[in-house]
Amino acid sequence: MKKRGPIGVWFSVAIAIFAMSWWVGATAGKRLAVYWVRHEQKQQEAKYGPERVHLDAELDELFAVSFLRIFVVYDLESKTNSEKTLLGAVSDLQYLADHPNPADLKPVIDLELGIADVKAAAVEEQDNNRDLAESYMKSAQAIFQSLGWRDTSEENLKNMMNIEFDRFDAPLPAEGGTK
Amino acid sequence: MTRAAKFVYLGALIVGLLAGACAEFYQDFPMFKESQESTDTMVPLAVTDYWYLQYKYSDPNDAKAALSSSAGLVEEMFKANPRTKPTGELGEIYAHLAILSDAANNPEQSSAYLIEARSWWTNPKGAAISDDDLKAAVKKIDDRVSH
Repeated sequence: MKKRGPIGVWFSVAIAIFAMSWWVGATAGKRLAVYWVRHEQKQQEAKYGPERVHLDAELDELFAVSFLRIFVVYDLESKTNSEKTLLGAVSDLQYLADHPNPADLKPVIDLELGIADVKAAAVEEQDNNRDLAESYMKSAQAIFQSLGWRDTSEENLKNMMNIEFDRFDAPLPAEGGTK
Repeated sequence: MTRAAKFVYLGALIVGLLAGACAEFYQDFPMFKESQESTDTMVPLAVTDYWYLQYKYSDPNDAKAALSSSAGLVEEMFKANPRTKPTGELGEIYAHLAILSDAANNPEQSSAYLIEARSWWTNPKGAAISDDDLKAAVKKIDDRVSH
């Protein structure tokens, strides 16, 4: 009598191969989707010329800046995480402000960095890190002066933060993030 | 390994790869596409903040520069993609430029900006709004946003 193959083992191995190759395929599929969206964007840019390339670069940069704003304005439930993400956003905004692409976005990024610095100063002050708070506030004042603000006193910038953050219905650091 | 086993394993490999790739592609592509389209058609928050805060807190010249450059960018967005939103943002920007021109005693430029502002606003009721009422409305919105 001829011996039959171990169907159970075959089946298990086939399932394992299927699962692994699904995972590999899914990763490739995700990359393909990203590639295809970028490919379509490049086609649009090629169709409409360098002005469109400039606009797309501007919008990508502005999208990144607007995204970082979320970490500046909104407090997370955990104070430690909130501070970590805020300081991370300040550092990312500083990088974008130092390397604006395109360069004409520099004032827009500077403004966001200034707002982030004011918030960071308020957070550090709450933590009794006076030197750091002062350093962030000075950085903010220098930025707003360069943007032509009429009053860059500490009091006015704090007041501005309270008014403008309220515009987003966000919790204020002075209220312990519990608004 | 028997020939049949090789056949089954190869089949599992090919079907897994193709099914995984297709499933992920068809799930993610519309999402990425929509995300890209919203980046292309939504006026970025950073731009709105820029012109608004510069108008509110900076010297008139810097405020004008911020409003003009923001108007240029949003107009470029409209040119590239007519589905850009919100449609009234350019109207608001030009209305603020008109208010700045009034403050600088330049009524001709103010009128020119208001004509531009009106061209970007749609008035569903078709009612005529005077220049003064229009500027008063914009100032009222600013005050409401600020308090």
